[in-house]
Amino acid sequence: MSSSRSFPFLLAVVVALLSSAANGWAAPAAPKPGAVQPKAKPAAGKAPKPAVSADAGAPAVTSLALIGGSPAGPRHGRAQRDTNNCLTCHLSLPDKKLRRVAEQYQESVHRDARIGCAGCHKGDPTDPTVNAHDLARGFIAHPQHDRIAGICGGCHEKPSFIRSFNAKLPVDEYTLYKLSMHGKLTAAGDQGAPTCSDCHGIHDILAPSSPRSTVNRQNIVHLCGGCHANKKHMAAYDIPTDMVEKWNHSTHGKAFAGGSAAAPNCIGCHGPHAGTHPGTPSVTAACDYCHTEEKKFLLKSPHARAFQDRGLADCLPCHGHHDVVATSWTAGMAPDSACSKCHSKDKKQRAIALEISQLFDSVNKEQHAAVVEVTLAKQAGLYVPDADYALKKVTTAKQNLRVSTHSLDLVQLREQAATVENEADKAKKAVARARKAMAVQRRGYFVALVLAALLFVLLLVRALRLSRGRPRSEV
Amino acid sequence: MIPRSVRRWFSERLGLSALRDRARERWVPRNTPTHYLGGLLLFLFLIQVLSGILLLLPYRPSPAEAHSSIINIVGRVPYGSLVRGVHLWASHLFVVVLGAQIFSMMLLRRFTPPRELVWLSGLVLLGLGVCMAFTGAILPWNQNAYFQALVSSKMASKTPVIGHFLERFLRGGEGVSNWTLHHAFGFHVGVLPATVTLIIALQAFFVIRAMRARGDQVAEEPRIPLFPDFAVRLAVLCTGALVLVITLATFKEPALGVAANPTLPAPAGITPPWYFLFLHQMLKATPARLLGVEGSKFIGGGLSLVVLGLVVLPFVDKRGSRFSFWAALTLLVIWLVLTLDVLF
Repeated sequence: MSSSRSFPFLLAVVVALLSSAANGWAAPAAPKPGAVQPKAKPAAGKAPKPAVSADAGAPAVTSLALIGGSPAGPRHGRAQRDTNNCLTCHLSLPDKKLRRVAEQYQESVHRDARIGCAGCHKGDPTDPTVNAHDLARGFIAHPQHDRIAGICGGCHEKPSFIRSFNAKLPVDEYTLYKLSMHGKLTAAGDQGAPTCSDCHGIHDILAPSSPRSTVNRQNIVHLCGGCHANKKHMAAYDIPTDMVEKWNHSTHGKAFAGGSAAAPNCIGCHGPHAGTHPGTPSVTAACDYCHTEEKKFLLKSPHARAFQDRGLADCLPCHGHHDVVATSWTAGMAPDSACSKCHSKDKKQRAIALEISQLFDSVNKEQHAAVVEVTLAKQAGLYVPDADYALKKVTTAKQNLRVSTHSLDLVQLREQAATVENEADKAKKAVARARKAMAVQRRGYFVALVLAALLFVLLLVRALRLSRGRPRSEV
Repeated sequence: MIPRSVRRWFSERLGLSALRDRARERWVPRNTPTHYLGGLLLFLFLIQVLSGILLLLPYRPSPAEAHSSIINIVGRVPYGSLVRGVHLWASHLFVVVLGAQIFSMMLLRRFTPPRELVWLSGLVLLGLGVCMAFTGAILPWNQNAYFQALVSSKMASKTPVIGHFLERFLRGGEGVSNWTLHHAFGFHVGVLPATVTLIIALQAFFVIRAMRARGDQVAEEPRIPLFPDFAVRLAVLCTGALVLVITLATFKEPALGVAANPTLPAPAGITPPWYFLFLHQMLKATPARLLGVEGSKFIGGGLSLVVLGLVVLPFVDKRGSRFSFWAALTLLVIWLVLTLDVLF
């Protein structure tokens, strides 16, 4: 165990010494360790060739390190950066805590991108001794809570650097974070407000696409809820802690749990880095990012004016906040319905609400009946492509009805409900046609059956006649 | 029915009357169910081949298309569901007749020398028939088919010594995958029918040679002419089977099921095919671990011993002792009780 670990370590020391010596040798005006200087590039490119060949034997040494976190891009001066003595040394340390950071780092996205320890901690990764932790060379052992975002932002807000790894990586996280409530509180010295590492991890940062990442789409609600559903943690901020619970029961939460890729989790509305939307009065500004058509119809409806006069946010009065409900199911005048919240006593509005709810009821009933009919037909093995097509049209027409309900225009709604009923009827008729065709074909089965039975009887008669004609003990 | 002139035309060219006269001179033992069962087996096999060829044309053996092509066969191909029903029900009847053949040979003690080869070919046919049904059940590639393949191959893995090989062989790899379907298809339409044809031919040959070998003994048994008596009786039996198969296909169409989806849980109440229900029942009753070994291995081991016993039976019990009769009866009763326990 010890020999297998110490051999690469020794080799690493030799390689590190060789390469740093070669650097100094080839470029007499040696660049300050900790900073990449383009001038040193041609020389450095030539010198470390022996180091590269030695690398093959010590893979732990080869892959890593970016000195000083300089945003010069990963492809520049790589030869000089291919030394991360921090990792080599920390992996072999007896102290579990000091070793753990190196082990965690090895699985992180930063290791994959060849961003070394010195990228954040500074110091001198080419120095194989304890002097690598030289404060004079900028070494930071534990970055302060309010400085962390600045360290991350140092690289992550620089498109020329960040996009050299992946052309789709965002570069606005730091800017947005500073605008967010999280960022503002952190800047004000609140240790309880989260900074980058509180959500993304410290040494074990993974790409959000990894299912193990804390910020993976599937884990986001758990991450945010970790603080926001924690009453003790939230007590100081005086904000509710029931959002996760409410979201779980909302139409968004249910669609998310059902595997919908479009259903929003926390960051779907709040954004990943701006905890609140800078410059928008209400979270409903996020609704029409997905629900564009609904918003258009709403603005045409009498509700638009009424909401504005009363200072109500567009979507919230009917649909709620975290517990977003699809009101098409609760429209009408039932005590818990959305409409009865405001219109329990208005005669005219009550009539409209009732009619809308009746339209939905009948549309749902029609759709359900048609779906059952088509499903049963398919289970019976009928081929019903026409019915399938009509069912698709039913779904589209119902979707149109749901969206245009926001206009409260009854004439339009009645037309759309009629379309649904018409298409559902077509589906049922297509099934009936297929059933009739199958019944005709099944008559053929009976013909086959009768023919076989007739043959059976004829042969039986013949067999009986034969056996009657012969004595039982014929030999 | 056929005009005399036409009959004569054929008779002159094919020598039919001579052929008939020769058939009239041949004799068959009067009271042997095995002869009838053998003929019925051949008839059912022919039905299977014919309906199988018809199904082969519209069937597409790929995981993405298999189930939709079955839907196509049932819903769009004229008389497709009838052909499919006949194929399926005839396959069940095929297994029934194979089992009846083995049990009647054992109960009537017709495995004694010189009939060993007839007995052994019967056993091989039973194995092949079950393999045909197993591979055929995979082809629709619906949820049931997928999980049947999974569970049946798992059961096979409990066989001592060759268990793992059997499991891999049945699955066409380590897990149930696309290869399982391709593998099952190749065996179902190619390897197995060819082998069954060969073994049925061999069995017929063995039966005739065994009769020849028993020579004098046969002459003393009551007998009937091969033609027309035996032929007509066999035809009655075969058409009866045909009526049964068409009736079942008409009134009890095989289910279509839902396309296979390994990410969904197994369908509720899924059971193996009826001839394996006894295994299912025994496995359910066996504790997970017995004497420090996986309990199901005892079932696998016990069943393998029974099969081994059946193979060596004609060599051990050369005179057809009463023991064989009672052993057959016991096996039959155990099988019936365990199977009926699930069905009712």
